[in-house]
Amino acid sequence: MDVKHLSITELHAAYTSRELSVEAVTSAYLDSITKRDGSLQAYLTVLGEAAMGQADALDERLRHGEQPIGLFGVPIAIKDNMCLAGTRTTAASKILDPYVAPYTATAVQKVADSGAVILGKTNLDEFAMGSSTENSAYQKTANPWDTTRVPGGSSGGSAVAVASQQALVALGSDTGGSIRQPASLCGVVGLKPTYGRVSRHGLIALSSSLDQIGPFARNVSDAFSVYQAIVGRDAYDATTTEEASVNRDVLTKGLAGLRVGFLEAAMLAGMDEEVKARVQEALALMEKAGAKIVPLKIPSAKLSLALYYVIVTSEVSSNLARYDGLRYGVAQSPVGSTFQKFTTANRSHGLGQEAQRRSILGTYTLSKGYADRYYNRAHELMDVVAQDFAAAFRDVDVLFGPTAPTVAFKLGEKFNDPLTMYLSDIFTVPANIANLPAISMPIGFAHQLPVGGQFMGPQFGEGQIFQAAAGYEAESGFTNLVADGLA
Amino acid sequence: MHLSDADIAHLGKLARLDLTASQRQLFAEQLSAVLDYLDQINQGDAAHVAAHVPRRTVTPYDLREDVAAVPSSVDLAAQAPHREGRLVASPPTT
Repeated sequence: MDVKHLSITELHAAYTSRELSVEAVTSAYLDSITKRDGSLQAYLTVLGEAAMGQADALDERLRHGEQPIGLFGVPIAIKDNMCLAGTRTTAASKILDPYVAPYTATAVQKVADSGAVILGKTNLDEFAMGSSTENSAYQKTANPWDTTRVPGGSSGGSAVAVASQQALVALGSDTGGSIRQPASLCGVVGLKPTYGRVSRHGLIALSSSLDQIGPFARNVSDAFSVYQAIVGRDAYDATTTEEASVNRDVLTKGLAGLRVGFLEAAMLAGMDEEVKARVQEALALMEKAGAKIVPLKIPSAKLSLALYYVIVTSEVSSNLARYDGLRYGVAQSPVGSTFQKFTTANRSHGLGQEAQRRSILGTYTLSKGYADRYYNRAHELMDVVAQDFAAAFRDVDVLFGPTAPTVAFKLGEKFNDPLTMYLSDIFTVPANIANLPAISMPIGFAHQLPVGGQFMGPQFGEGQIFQAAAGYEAESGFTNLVADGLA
Repeated sequence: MHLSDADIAHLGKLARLDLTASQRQLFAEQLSAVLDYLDQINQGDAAHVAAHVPRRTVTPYDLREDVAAVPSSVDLAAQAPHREGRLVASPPTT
């Protein structure tokens, strides 16, 4: 038996019967990293020794009769923009190269408290800015289905770790699609919860008003288990809420009677025809299983991408201002310098091209002469988009459409064309702009590569999207896909 | 919207980034194209719509009590690349 094929429920059964130890499972995943990550480059830091220590402590608890629940004994990977005390945390930026986090992010603490075994920290686009993970200052992560292609981004390392069985589950962060788009391109499940569900304390900020942490998994049930472990009010993030959690029984409710909205505009001209076909087939399957498909129009949704880049670049220019080489990170010699020259030199050497590009643009959109035209206007229009989506959810339970317009593209293909790269997030950003929960899951293949479909729900409607995703997964059989990335 | 070389140089100064001539040229081209795309929020129907409901904002009720917590100031100062004793070293402002 390959233990890496087991789901969380199956692992727990094997722990309870003593068929498996946490040590054996952790060791199998660490072996997988040794074997596969040389070519895939998903991890920036592997915490082998610490993971084996955690596994040993969990086995001791099993020996004392503890029943495994939650994430007990679940090997997990963490995107390297979340702090873990005593561990190097880089956000894939050179400017944070020597940074060792002095505290642990709430979401990371919660998975650890739930019994997860932390295998390591995964690669990302620098400060989570990008859609291909090519903006990492350290390495380019390859898609395990075709190593000449990108894994998507910015949580590309976490998506690849899960898709290639280098972790059972992972945490990522999603500001405009950074969990869902790589999940789609790598053939795994990825969830962005409603903003406010999961604490951002200890998440290195990209865009504070949009960032949200969420899970990657190879099936909907495992994604639900991680989601349950990380949600809740946190005194260290005032934007978290007390909203009622979701009961696991939504996973078995099925599709019958579910009203599924379909945005016709979601089938863009220029979209990959094969991806379009998979979306139509998914809708047909849902209808056959008893769901009611409702065609919908939300005209303001098409503004989402423009709104997103105004908000994000503005907040980036503010959030990245702290990286000056004075309090932490990489710094030039201060000898004979002035404060302005010193901090400018540190930032110019330490920040990568996309971080600099967005800082420049954000400085412009926040500047005195243009803030009303861009930043303030974007906030007004975000509320309009949110209202229009809320109105749509009076007629449907969930919305369904493609996660990304194409399958995984070639490494380097869009790297020098930022606008084209930004367009790969066109279907994912509306959920961030309107603050909706959304989940991407495999719905088939095109050009021998995985295609993702996305369910969006109303604010705090994670129950509906988990119901739809689990229902579709059961009908379609597209679950537990594995690509090991080995030639 | 066309950003000139001088615009980019000025924005670079405000953002505390030293940009080379080729970087300035590249950013002027790329960001002019991106701004053209972003300007759709001020065009057509979008120019006339307005929101009816304000977004939920954080109130004092949402904030925790402001108490000092770990990590200590000594741990934090230890992160600084340049230190003098327990203090963070900085070049003069002028």
